[in-house]
Amino acid sequence: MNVGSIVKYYRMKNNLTQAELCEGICSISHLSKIESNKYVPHEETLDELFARMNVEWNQELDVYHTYREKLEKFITYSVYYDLKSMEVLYEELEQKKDYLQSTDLVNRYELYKLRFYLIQQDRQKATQQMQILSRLDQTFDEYERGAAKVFYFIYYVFVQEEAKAREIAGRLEDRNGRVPQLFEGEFYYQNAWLMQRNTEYGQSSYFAELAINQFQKDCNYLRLMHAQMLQAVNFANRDLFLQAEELFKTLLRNARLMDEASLYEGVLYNYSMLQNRRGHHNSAYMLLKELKSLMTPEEPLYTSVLIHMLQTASEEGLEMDHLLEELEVLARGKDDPYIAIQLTYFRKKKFSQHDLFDYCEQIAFPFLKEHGYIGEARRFAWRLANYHRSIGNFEKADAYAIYFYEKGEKMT
Amino acid sequence: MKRKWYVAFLAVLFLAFVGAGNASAAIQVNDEMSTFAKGNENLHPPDVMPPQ
Repeated sequence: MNVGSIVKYYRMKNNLTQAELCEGICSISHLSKIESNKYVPHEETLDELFARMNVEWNQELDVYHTYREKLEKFITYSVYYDLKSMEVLYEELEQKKDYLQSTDLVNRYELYKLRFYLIQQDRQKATQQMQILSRLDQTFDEYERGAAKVFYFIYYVFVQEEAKAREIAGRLEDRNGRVPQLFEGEFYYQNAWLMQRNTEYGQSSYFAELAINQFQKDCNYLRLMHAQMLQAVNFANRDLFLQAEELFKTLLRNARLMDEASLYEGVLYNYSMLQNRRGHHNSAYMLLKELKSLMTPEEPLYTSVLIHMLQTASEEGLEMDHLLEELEVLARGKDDPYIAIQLTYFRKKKFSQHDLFDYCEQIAFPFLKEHGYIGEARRFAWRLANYHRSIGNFEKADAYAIYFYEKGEKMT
Repeated sequence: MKRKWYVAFLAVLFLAFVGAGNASAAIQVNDEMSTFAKGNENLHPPDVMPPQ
């Protein structure tokens, strides 16, 4: 512990010059060396200096150790995703900012604040913190270097600077700055998250499995569920349907037991997509129905859920009128051509096949193709190809089939 | 005569093989292609991801 920094902190706090503080105790140059941590003073000298400032040294040691422990608690909350406790402790540490920044606890304080801002998804504060840390990192010890690299990795994933993120991930296997054991699970999780965002499901699976094993070992149950959710989506997208379903069922149970409403809704949504991919439309419909009952129309995902319900109901031949009415009400409030197209498509589906396919060909398919809804465009291309084949338009059928293949996705 | 029947039989087998190839060119799911979309191309509806 750098006691000199603490002497300086209290001297500044008491508005004393070096001459005023050291008079009768030691020379000014001696005090200067103490304050810059170049010299460790005798205990008697320290006692006298602190006594002049009405500071009890033993109590001061206690304060130092207390805040050192609070900092470790702070980062442990982030590891276990205890966000509420982290917020409360953040406010407390902010109150003691001046003290922390005057001690050798400053490195960890500033590092852990970066992690906090990343969890809060506060891009501005996280970026500012990166600048502060770039000035401090020459003084990092081995643990702090390792922790910094993990947090920098999370930062670059967050701001979508992938090249930098991957560069850091590669360097983390070096001897300089290995991942501290506390952050191992998190490091694997962030890798899995990054790969999944890039639809690299195989690679994401590898890291998600490492994260799951680490979180299980650490009894880190909340983060374990996050990693399992990632893994379930990876399995679903790799057509490992049974493995995906097993994980989704586990997640539904545990998210409900742990009162994780947002996670529970996410699992319902992803599980319903899996069931639709497998052709289990009835099961998908029930999952979407439950999800819709938990949401309000103002939520961004609500429209997607409604449209998926319509698509599912149409596959299974279920009642759609009440859903159409609800989508009409939503469409009036928003100026979204995608919703308008979906609405027209489902309305036409009730009436003429010929009208419907005309609409798909003239309006819906070109719109979806142009605006990057490639998955849906392929579904329309498939139906249009079959429709044209059934009425003998083989040239058009082949054209749509070529589009379907060229986009190259597995579809069930 | 036997040789002619044998050649004709082989020709039928060959044509059946080619025919089967043509039949498989009818619209079917292509199991060999992989999903590897990047950028804005939305190959299938995005999944809901857990928090980063």
